[in-house]
Amino acid sequence: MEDREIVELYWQRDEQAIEESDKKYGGLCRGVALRVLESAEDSEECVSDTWLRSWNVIPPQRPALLGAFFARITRNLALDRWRSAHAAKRLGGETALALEELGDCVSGESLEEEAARRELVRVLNDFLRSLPEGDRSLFLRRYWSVETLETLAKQEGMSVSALHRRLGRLRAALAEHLRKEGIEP
Amino acid sequence: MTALELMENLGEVDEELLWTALHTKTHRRYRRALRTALIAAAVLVLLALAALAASESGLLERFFPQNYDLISDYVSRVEAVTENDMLRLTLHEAVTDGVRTLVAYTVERLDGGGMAGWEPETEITPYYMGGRTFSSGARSGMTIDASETARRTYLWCCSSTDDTALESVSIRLLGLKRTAGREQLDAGSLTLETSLTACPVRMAKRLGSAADEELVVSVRLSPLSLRILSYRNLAGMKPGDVEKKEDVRTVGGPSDRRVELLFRDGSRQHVSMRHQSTDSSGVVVLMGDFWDLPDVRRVKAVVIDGREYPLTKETAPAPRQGLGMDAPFLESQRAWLYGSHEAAHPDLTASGEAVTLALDGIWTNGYTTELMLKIEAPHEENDWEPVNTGGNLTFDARNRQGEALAVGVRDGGLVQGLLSLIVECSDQAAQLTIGDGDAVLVIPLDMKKLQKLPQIEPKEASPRQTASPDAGESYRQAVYDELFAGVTPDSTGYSADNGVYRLTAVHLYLTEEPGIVRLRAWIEAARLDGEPYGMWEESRAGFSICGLKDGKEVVLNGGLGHVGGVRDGVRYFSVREDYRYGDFALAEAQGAGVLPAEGLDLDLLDLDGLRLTWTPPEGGRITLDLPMTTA
Repeated sequence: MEDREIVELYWQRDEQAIEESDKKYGGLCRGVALRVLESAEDSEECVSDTWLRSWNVIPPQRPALLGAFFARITRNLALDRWRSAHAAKRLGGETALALEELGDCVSGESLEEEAARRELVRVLNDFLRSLPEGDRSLFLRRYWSVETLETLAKQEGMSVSALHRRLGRLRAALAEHLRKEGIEP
Repeated sequence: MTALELMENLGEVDEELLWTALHTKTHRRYRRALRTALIAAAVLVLLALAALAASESGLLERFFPQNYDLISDYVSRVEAVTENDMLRLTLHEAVTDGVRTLVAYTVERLDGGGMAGWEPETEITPYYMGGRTFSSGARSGMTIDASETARRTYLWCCSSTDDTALESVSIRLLGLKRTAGREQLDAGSLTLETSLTACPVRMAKRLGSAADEELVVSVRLSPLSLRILSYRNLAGMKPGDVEKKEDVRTVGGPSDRRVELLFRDGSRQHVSMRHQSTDSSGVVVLMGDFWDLPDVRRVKAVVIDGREYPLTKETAPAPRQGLGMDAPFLESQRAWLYGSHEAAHPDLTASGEAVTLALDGIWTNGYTTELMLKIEAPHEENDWEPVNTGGNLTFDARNRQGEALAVGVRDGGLVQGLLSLIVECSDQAAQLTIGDGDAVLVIPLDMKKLQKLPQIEPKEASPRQTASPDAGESYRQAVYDELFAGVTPDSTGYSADNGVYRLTAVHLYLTEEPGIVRLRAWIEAARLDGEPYGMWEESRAGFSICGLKDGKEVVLNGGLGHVGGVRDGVRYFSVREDYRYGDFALAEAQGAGVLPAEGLDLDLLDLDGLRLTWTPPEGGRITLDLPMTTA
């Protein structure tokens, strides 16, 4: 079923929308959640919550890229879940590693204002647009999709240490960009 | 800004940027895999192109011109066709050894367009054990005949991380996509499926001693592939001492491994291995694919870095080996490995000054031992949480002669407060010693002996897997059957009706984690009068759950999540409730029959039962009382 037809089902409040969403994008969303949470059970719940949240926001929303829309919701839910589990010191894994790497780019002081968050998203979009397609894809696959270094290295045909260095350069570029834009001191 | 905030806000970036990146990945992976595969098989592809005749039957034979007879008995020859106005899909052949699977198929355009610049958007899914699928493994495809303008034939290859008794494979064609760019042609969905008969495999004997750096747990050879599974040897070492993350990057990779097949006549064949996966316990899978099929009956041993691993007789692929996730699968795997899926629960406890180790359940055949362990530190403030997750344990395995063996450990994580461990040994072990500081637990590795020891009731609600007759239906259902405690619905489940709807609890289970109790349920509400179901959201609002104690309702504090819809003509609710441990509130304005709040000190497993109620939009409350037993 095409995306616009699925969205139309949501607008018509037809429960088939959830089944079709799961059929077409369930695998994508489970993959996103699984990489963050590393638990099939928690991932399944995240995906279920994704359909529930989508049901609640469509309408009024009418997503143009339905897969990205669902994946983003799933990732946010998975990160929420990861954070609460991490607070209880029960999780580590790839997400913790990716966060440790991103720690290179930031001061560690918390953002408090919503306006600051919106500005950060704008700056991140600018940064990503400035990257060559390959670097942008690599950066997002590591820090959005939380794919393992080993997986990425294999797909990129390079050693893990070379990939480490390439990601390090990208993080340094992001840190510089954040400083230039006044997001980070 | 914190790193977590940066990661969270990265989630809010422009969707188009994100989507393009994800698609770039797919294309890149495809192109890279295609390039690699084409280099590896260039000569064979040319041979195949030259030999391609009018008919596509025998495609795989053209890919394996030497020794094709070694797999010919196991090739599924299908030649099934399905089409719509736009595309025709033909499934020609498929073959598998349980790890590597190849599928040959043709896509033909019927709308007058050509295939140049397009590639098919296909989902190819192998299935094992009653319809389960796996998602791990390397996948790639290659074009077999690029000369045709309106039709192309492809060979799809997949390698699973686990040893898998595959039963069938399906191919679903969704449309075409540009090999460069984002343009797509949506063709609805065309699906074909075929059963698979895996070709036999040969396994190597385990070798090694406590002095080795690694333990090769499995060497699996078929005419199609060689798979090697290796663990870090932990004999005399604590898992916590091992920098596993460094292991992932430095140990077990194929670049420094020399792997050969040693034939009975003394000749050798080098095998180019690739790194397939490394899990969180540092277990490494290496894979080698054969295009020049070896006659495995003539292979005497697989040689890894100079050490010969002698092969055993041919056998069928094993039931899927790995960390399984659903009950029927676990049962079948344990029955296959240990002779029975029933665990022994011997009364084995070791107490030291700071730590107590207690065995809660065990399965073993000497080579592989699966155990549930409880680690307690009475003086720890957070006594609900184990003192560690096994990182401080030491392992020592001995054979009958008292010799120390190599030991590999896979961490299955915490399940309801119990540490799940799978221990592999280099030979049949007679005794396993697990230590943590001053507490040392000595376990005889013989199921008969273990069952003759005084048995305990498992201290925690250890996972009781109960197979459901419908468990194979879907991944979701398998997840919902994963853990099961407290409530035991029969084959028809608990059921009640109000004359219009019948409510049935089909699957229920409780899980207990430190500080939290979770209830999950699959509830079906069949409409008896044949009328439509109406809006799901309204239906959902009428659903609630409370506890029962001495005939009175107890409101449970916790999160509430219901997802559902209509499936196969029946409304269903997938219920998820998380309760904080022992922290239940008094119902407000619920009137008589509600327990007083003061002095209420219960945990969920102390309740007499749970009450699920549903009030349909048309009214007429239906109540299901589910008795709780921890037996």
